Amino acid sequence: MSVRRDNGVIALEGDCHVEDAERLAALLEAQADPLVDLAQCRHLHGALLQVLLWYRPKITGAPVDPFLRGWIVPILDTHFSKTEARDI
Amino acid sequence: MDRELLDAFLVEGRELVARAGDDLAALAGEPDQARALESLFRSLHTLKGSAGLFDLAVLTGLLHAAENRLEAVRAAGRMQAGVGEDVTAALDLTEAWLELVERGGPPGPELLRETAGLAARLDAGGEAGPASSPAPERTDDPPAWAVALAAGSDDAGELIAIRYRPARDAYFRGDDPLAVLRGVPELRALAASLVEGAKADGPYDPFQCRLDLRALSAAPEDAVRQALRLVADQAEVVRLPRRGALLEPASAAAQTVRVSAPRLDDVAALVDELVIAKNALGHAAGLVGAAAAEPAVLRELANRQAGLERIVADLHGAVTDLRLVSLRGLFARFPRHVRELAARLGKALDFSVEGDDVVLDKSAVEALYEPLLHLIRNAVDHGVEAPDARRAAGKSERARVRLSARRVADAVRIEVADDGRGVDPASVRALAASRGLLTPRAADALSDAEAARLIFAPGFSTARDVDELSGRGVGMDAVQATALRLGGRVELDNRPGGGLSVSLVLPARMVLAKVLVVEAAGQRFGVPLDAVAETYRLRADEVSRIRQGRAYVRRDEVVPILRLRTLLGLAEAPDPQAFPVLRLAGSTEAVAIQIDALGERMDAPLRPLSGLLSGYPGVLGSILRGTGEVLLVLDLAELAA
Repeated sequence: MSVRRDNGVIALEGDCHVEDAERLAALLEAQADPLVDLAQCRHLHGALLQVLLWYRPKITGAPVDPFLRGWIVPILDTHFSKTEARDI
Repeated sequence: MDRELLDAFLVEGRELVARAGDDLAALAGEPDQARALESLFRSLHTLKGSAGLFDLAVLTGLLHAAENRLEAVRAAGRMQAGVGEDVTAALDLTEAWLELVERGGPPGPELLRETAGLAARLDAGGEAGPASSPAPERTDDPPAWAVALAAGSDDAGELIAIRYRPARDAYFRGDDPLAVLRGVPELRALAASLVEGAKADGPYDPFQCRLDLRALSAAPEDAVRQALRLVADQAEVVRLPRRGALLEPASAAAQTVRVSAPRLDDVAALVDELVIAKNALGHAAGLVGAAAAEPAVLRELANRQAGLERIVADLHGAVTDLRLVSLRGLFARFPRHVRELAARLGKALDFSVEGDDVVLDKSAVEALYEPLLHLIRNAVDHGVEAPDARRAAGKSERARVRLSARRVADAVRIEVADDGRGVDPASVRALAASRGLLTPRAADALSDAEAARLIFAPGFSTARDVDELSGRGVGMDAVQATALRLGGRVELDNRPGGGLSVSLVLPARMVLAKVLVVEAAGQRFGVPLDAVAETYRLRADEVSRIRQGRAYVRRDEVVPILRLRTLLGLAEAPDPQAFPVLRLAGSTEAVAIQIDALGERMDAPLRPLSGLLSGYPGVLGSILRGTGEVLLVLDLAELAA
């Protein structure tokens, strides 16, 4: 299972596929102030990125995968301040 | 934003403002209007692009409005009333923004209001003109999203910008947008957001793709397109010009390479090392000669050495030439000041600039801004009379102030001339005496020309003291000090009642002496670096007495030691435990000069001695340190002979 909830933390693990998007969305919808752990994530399907951009949960954990760590996590961390400002 | 890029922006921004001003002047007069208009467009466009990189949205808006206005001119095929004035005003404001950027402060409300106001006026004018449709976005303009992405990247090379907005059914089709981007080689930036208005379309739908992805890659365009081939219909690929090129006019890009000043200085430093290495080789050649080698070998060595010497000298000259820059950027900064000042003082005048294509060492050009600004302000403020006074004196109401540069033999003469009232020798004499700069009797003894030069005396100011306009801590004495520091002088041509001209005469190619600072008996002197083959510390026990003299042995060579104190007739002192010596280069007979301490190395223009000291044996000239201290530069070989 690549989307798991543990003690209130939603963990994305391994290769997260398009099918996981619905479950992730449901978990985020259900939880106030959710925390998503990407530490064990190897790949994130675009659909899941979209879910995270939509609900903007807090993000924790540094994935080992360089693409995720280098490019995706910073977007999720800073998305609000940077992208909003740039898009004006 | 990194400082280097900012500096490049400032330099190029000023060049572009200057060029745009030239083009504007050409538009008014020349028959070849199309060319001038194109060039003007290019300058404004490049300025706009650069301003965009630095988040100067208000300025970008103004330049955009100016561009649109000119688009209307182009469509109409002729200049229209008011366009020239408005674009000139836009260039003036651009110059003001550049100064603001240089100082690094927030824009004042006045500047913001003026800029926005002019932009609005330009926009309104464009609508009133025959080409009422807004100018189409020029096709070579990188889109805003790409510029924004590139602004956050430190990459200086060519970048490919990607905007990938997957189709709504991308997930159904089995596309994974992130897997696609993962495949893009040499990713340099990545931004992701939901497409605009996605949230307004209703609740979250996990099956619809609503991503808006932007990325930069440093890979070749082909490789990027290859990575995106499966989603080519959903991705936009834009080649961004090199970062430097964004700041560079298109026409010059092909022929010039921009090199940052520190890198140039590094090259210059290496050439200096080469000069020193060459000197050491000369010494080695001398040793071979002393060892009585084959005459044929010696001749060959001497030939090769002479060849090397020539090449090193040429290289040194070529590197020095690389530092030459034109005065264009510097001169372009003054017209706005003059217009502002004249308007504030209610004076009517024409300010002209000539010879801004003359080149000068970069450091000199940088140092000239303050002094020239002071001279120009002086001319406008104190030199030029008010219109009614001019009329009363039988002059034309409009005064003339001219800033010019020209090359005269080995010097560059930069002149600020006005046709104002000039300097009145009598009042200068009186003022100098009243300020205690000299006695009334001495003042009266001065010729009129000499009296006029009193304005350069420290503590003198004819301007009824320092005022807001001209007084900024830079007086005429500072102007003179700058000229001296740059190895030049100030000349004055005063026509009482007819005008004043002040010229800075500067060496065209600064001869920078590489100087080693040495100390003897508490005094500091300069020694040309290329006169020194080696420096090292000798312990007292390494020194042996030979008859009256002293010497040491190094590499089987006996080197006599002379004391600099003795050579200069300074106070003698017992030798310390260890002391530095300089072994002289150039002579086959080895000599070392004992000094008290070694100081820093420095580069400074070597000024020949004048007056009483000229022709003084053993002194090559003097250099001025940054602190104002004057060092005599010694000719050690002559002293030791």
